[in-house]
Amino acid sequence: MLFNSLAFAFFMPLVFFLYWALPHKLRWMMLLIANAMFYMSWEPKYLLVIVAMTIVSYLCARLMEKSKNGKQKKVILIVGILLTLASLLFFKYTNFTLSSIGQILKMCSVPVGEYTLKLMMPIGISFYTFQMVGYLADVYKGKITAQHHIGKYALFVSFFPNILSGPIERAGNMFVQFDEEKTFDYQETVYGLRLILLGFLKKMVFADSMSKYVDQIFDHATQYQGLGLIIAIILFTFQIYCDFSGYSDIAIGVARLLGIQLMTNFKQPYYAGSVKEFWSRWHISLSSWFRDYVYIPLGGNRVSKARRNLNLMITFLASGLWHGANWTYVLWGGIHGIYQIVENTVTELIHGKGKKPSTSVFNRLLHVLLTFILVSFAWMFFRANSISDAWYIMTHMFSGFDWNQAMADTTMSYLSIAKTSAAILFLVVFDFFQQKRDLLKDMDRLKLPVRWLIYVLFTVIVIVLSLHNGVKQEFIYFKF
Amino acid sequence: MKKLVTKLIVFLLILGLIFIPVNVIIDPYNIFHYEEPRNNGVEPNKNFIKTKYVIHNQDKFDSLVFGSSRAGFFNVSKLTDGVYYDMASSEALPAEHVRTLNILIQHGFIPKNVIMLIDDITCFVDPKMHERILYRVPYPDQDILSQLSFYARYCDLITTYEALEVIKEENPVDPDFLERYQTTGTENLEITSEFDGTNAVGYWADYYELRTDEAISDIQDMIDLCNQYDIHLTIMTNPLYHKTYARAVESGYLEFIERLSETTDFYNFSGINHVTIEDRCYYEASHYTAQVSEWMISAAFQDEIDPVVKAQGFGVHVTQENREEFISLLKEQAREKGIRIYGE
Repeated sequence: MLFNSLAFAFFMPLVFFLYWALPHKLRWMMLLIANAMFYMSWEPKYLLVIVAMTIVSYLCARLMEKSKNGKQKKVILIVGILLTLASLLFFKYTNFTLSSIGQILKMCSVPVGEYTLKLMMPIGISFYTFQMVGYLADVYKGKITAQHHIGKYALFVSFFPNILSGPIERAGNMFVQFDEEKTFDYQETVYGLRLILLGFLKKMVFADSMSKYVDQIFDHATQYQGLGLIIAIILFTFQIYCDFSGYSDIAIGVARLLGIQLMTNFKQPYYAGSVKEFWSRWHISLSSWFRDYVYIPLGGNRVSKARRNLNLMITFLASGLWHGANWTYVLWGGIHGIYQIVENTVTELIHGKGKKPSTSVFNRLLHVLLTFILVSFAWMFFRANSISDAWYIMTHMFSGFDWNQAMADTTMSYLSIAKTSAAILFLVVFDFFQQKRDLLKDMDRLKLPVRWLIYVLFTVIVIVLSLHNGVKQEFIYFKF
Repeated sequence: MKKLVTKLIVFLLILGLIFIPVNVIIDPYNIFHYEEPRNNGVEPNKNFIKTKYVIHNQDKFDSLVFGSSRAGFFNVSKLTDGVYYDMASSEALPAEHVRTLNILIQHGFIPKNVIMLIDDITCFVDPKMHERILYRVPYPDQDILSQLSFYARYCDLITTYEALEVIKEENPVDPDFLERYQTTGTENLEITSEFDGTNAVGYWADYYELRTDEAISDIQDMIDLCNQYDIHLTIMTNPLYHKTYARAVESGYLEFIERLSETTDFYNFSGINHVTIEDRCYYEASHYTAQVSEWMISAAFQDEIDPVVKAQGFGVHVTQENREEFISLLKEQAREKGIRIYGE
C-alpha cells in the first residue's frame, strides 16, 4: 500500500477517524493493528521478521536495564545490535556479498559459477532496523529508559507513516508522544494535509515527470555523451530530492494527522554552502543517526586529524552501503567522505591563517553553486547502474555540447523542457523562502478563496499528472 | 472535527465536479457507454465494454468467441450451434479470456460454447502490458478498490482532452456500428480488401517476446475452466498472413504450436497455404477478412474444406494422433520457404 495508492486513500481516512473517535488508552492498540494491516498489504510473511526483531530488541533493552554490571550491559548491547542487524545483513547484503566474492575469485582466475539466493527484502527493513539499533544504543547510554510496554515499543518500530522510507525516528521522541493524551487539533490536521499535498506534488508531479528522462539516459548510459549526460545528472539531482523529500513530507503529514510529530528530514539541502552543511540538511534523520551511532562512537572529532578523517570515511562508506547493496552506492558514500575531508582540510588551512569566512551574498552564492555541482556529480555514481557506467559518464560528459543532440537523447520536447524548468523553478523559489519562514503555516494568512484555489489547483495537478503518467496515451483509429 | 469533515466533503465535491462529468460525458474509450458505444474514432476498451454488455444482456447470447482484434472479423452469424457474441478486442490474450470468462460466470452467465482464437500474439505478448493501455485494460475484479481504480484511470483529463482532437476529426461512415456491437460484436464484415502485400512486411511489435510456458499455462487454465463448467471449448489458430507467419516462426511460433499440440486438440489455420499467401484474404499484414473466417467455420464445424488447402495444414484438426505429422508438415513448409525456424 503506497501513499499514492487508492487503497491508502481509503485506509488513511479510516485510521484517522477511528483514531480520534477512540479514547486515548485504546489508540495505541488501534494504531498497532493499522500498522500490521499496512505492512501486510505488501507481503504478510515479512510481518514475522519485524515481529521477531521487535521481540529481540525489546528483550535486549529490558535486559540491559536490569543489568547492574557495565560489562554485561555492553555484551547485551552488542548481542542485541548484532541480532537486529543480522536480518538486515541477510536480506540486503547476502547476494551482494556472494556476487562480490564471485567477482573477486573470477578476477583471480578462479572458475566459479553465479551463486545467489532468491531473496526478497522485507519492506522498510533498513529503516526499522536502524530505529531498533538507535533505541538499543540510547537505552545503553541511559538517554532513555527501556520501554516496558511491548505494544508501544512495537508501535514505535512499525509506525506506518515512516516505516517504508523514514524519517528514521528516535525512540525518545516517539514514546513521549505515544503516552501523551492528545486532543484533536484542527490547525495541526490542516498543516498535515498541506504537507501531504506538497509531498504529492514533489513526488508524483515533479519527481515522476523527471524520472522518464533520467531513466532514458542512465539505463542506456553508454549510448550517449556530452550535454545529454549532464542534463540527466542535473535532472536526477532534482528528481531524487523531490522523490525523497516528497515522500518524507507525506510521511510527516500523515503522522501529523494522528497528532504525532516526526522529525524534519530535509531542510532545503541544495541551498547548502558546503558539503558538511548539505549533510545537515539532507536526509537529516539518517545523517544524524550515522553521526550519533557511528561517527561519535568511533571517536568523532575528539581524536587526531588522521583518525577523524578515517572516521568520516568509515561513516560515509557505511552510509553509502546502507543506501543499497551495490558498489555504486559505496563509491557515492566514499566520494562524500572525500569531499568532507578535503573541505575540512581547506577550511582549517584558511582559518589557520586567520582569515575570516566572507559573509557576502556573492560568496555564499558561489559556495552554494559549488556545493550543488559537487553533490550533483556524486549523485551520478548513486544513479548509475554500474561502476563501469559511472566511469563512462564521467569520461564522456564533457565531450560534445550539441543542444539538439541532447534534446534528442533525453527525448525532451520544448514543452517538456518548459514543464521541467517550471518545476525546478518552483522548487528553487519555494525552498528559498522556506529557509526563513514556514510557508505552509503562512498560508493561514491568505484569504479563504485564495487558499482553496491553491488546494484545488495543486490537487488537480497532482491527480491529472499522476493519472496521465500512469497510462500510455496511444490511440488506434477505428479502421476496422 | 465537524469543521474539518464539512470542509473535506466540500473539497471532494469540487474535485468530483472537475473530474467526473467531463470524463463521463466525453468518455473516449466508451467505458461509461457500454450499452450504446459511440463510434468516435478512438478505439474503445472492447475488452471491458463487451464483457459489461454480455453481463447486462445475458439472454441475448449463449456462446462466445474470444480472440484478439483479428477475431473481430470472425463471422459469428455462420455458426449454427448457438447464438454467438464476438468478444474480440485489441491484442486480447488467453489469460484475459480466462479472466473475462470467470467474471461472466460469477455474474451467472455460463456459455454453451466458447471458441478461442489464438496466434502469435498469444505467445509473444505479456498481458501485464495491457494494464497501462486504456483501450486494453482488462475488466476489473469485483471488489470496490479494483472497480474504483479501473474507473479512476479513465479520469485522466489530459488524455480526454487529447482524445477530443481525434473525436473532432472523426467522420463516422459506419451506420451499422451500434447494431453490430449489440448483436454480434464483430467489426464491419462488409469491408472489401484492397491490400497489396508486395511491399508489406510481417506484422511485428517491438515489445514481442516469446513466452511459450506462460501462454500454454493460460490456455490450460481456459481448458480447465471450460471443463469445470461443462462449456464446449473449440481452440483454433488464426491464419497468419505469410509474411507475419514467417516473422513469427523465426521468433518461436512453431515452438508454441508444438507445445499447444502436446496440451490440447485444436484446429489449425496457420502455415503457408493458398489462403495465407493471398493478399485479398487480408486487410493488411495482420487482419484476415470475414471470408477467411467463413472458410475456417466450414472447416471446423462442417468439415467442408478444399482438400488441397487442407493438405497444406489449413483446417486440420490437430489431435494427439496426428500432431507429430502435423508439426513436421509446418516445419517442412517453413524450410521450403527459406524461413529460419527458431531454435534450429
